[in-house]
Amino acid sequence: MNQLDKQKCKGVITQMNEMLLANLVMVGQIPSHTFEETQRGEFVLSRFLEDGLVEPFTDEEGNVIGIVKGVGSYKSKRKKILISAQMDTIYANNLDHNILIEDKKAIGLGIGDNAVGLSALMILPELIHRLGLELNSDLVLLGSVKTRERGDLAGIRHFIDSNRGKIDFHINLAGLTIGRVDHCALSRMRGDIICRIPQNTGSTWGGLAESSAIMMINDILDGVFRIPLPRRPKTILNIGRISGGKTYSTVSNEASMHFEVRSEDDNITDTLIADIRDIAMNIGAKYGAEVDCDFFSRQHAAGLKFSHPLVRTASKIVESLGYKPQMEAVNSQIVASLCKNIPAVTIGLTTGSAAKPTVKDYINIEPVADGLVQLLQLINAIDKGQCDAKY
Amino acid sequence: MQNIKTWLKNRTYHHSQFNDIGKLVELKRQKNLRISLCFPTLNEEKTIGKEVVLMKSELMDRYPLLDEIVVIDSGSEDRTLEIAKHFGAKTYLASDFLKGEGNLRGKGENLWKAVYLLDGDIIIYLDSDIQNIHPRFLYGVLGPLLHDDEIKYCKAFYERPLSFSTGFKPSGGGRTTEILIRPLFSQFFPELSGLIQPLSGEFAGYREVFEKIRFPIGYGVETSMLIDIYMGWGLDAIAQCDLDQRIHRNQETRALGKMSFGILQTFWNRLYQFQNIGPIEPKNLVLNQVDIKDDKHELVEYSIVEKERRPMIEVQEYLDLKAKRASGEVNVFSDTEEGNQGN
Repeated sequence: MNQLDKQKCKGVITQMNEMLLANLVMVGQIPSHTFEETQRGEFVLSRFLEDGLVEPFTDEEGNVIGIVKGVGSYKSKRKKILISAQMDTIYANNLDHNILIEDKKAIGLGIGDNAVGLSALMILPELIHRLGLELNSDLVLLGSVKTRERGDLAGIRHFIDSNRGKIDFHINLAGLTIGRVDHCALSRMRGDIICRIPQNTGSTWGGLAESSAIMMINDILDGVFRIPLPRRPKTILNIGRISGGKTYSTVSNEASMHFEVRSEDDNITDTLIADIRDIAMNIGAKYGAEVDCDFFSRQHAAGLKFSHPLVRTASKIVESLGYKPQMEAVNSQIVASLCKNIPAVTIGLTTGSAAKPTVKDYINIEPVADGLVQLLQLINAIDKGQCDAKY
Repeated sequence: MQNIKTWLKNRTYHHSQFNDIGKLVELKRQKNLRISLCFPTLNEEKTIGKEVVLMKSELMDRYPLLDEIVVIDSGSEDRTLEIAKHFGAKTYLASDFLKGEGNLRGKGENLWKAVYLLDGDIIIYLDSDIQNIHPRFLYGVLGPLLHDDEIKYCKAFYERPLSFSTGFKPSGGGRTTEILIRPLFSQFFPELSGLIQPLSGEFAGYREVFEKIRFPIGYGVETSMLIDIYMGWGLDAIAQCDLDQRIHRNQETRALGKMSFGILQTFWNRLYQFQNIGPIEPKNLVLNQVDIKDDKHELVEYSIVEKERRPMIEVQEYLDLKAKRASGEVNVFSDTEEGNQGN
């Protein structure tokens, strides 16, 4: 394998450590809740402009795109490698997004998911320049928007749809999963069910005997839990949140449940969603109340086999860096590419913690060097044709 | 009043006017200036790392605007110096230098010793507890100096949301300014009342100014600096720049009482020096505050004596050092090792 000199890469990355951390602070301190990524996008765009990327721009969805041109002589034969990192976070913009830098850790909301991925994306052009790495391929750098929750990967989907046939490979950067090579995605659907009983009279003694929206949700849950789930293909139904009611003494007028179905089989997801809808509507009819079912974020099962050269190469690189490769099916940005038959993997950059109730989000700084070496080696392998295969 | 209004109009900037950092680098080169950044610290391990790393990466490595980043510490008991050094700052313990001048402790002491330890023609001071640090904090106060040769000193102002454990609350900061400094300025130095945040800890100025003024070692240093520069160089030598937002720790009202106690001492000195009022000599330099302990009121006493350092230009060691630097000698000092040793 025509691999890059690992030690040389690490040396240059170490020299660039401050640049990485500065980017991490600057981008991480800009709040960027899903659908509110504009300011963070402007910063990423300014970085792409300063680094001399070819005509960086913001597309209609808000994605920020810049291209590092390859040196390959024939434009039509140059591969296009998409490197992406999401710009949005799960955290509301009014929360404290300040970042602390210690000698071994960086701490702050959304730092591992995914300020560190964005920082890596932003220093990549300079890293390649300092290494003197000449790639035949074009690198298409993408800061994507609207990936989380109701965003439903709208940014990356839009980019892939509007660049159909123009992208040859896709590497997505995740923050905290170094050692993992995500190469397939499950079938997935999310749903919100909202029950409303407008005629309840409140907290009177007579009113307390009336129907309650919370009882309706309870009945729907009873029905949903009775649906048999197959062990093969593996299928999971997760009730992520339920809410409803106002006070101790008031009959609830409104209650809701929010859930996600994931399966290795698209048909099972579809059947399950249809069953859940039927149950909700039947309960609604029984109570004579209004039930809204909103199913969204549909993703189809897609993936590369482990034997695909991209997955195998990524896995070998991970192993050569001293990590035990883990293969996972994860619904990340690669779904959009995999569904369009573009070979894609998500790789992690470091270790740390994200979105845990009792631990502040943090990343470990030292492993980022390995994460970046991994990225460079994978880019180089794709560029040298080592990941080519028929999908 | 007309003078203040004209000054406000002509000498009030916004950081976005100076965000073309490449242009600032070019101005620096044309004027053949060296620019130094100083962080005065005391137990700032939580924020100093990112302040140093951000300024070094953005304004030394990416753009060669700064020539040095220096942390001058008052004797931190945490890892402030270790972290600052780890990320590439020069680190000095204030008490290790100019020992012949006696040992004093306070932020003003660090600012004064920065004039000795740093070698820039322009020195920029940034507080080391800025949570939302960004390069604008530096280029915002530096920009006016590079763009207009009449300006010798520029001070920051900003919105001041206060940081609480539950998130941020909008302004409420600047209490000492509004109930003490601005009324005093309005009465005795009215032309200075146009300064929006006279107590902000982010400012830049020329060495030729800093070396000629006295430095109170404690709370009064920002106030005295403004008055002394105003009296020595005139109002038009001073500018102010809007840095948008600075998130900082909320100070309890009692802490502001201590601050005011120190500032007043500095202020009485200036009244006598420049307005021939006084001398006003406080009968007592102990601040009494009332505390509650075990359900009983208790008097707590704080001795706050606002000593002042003489202008650096009067210190022979400084003049000797200046001569050495003028003859091309660099790297005069070695770093402090994790705050334990000096030279």
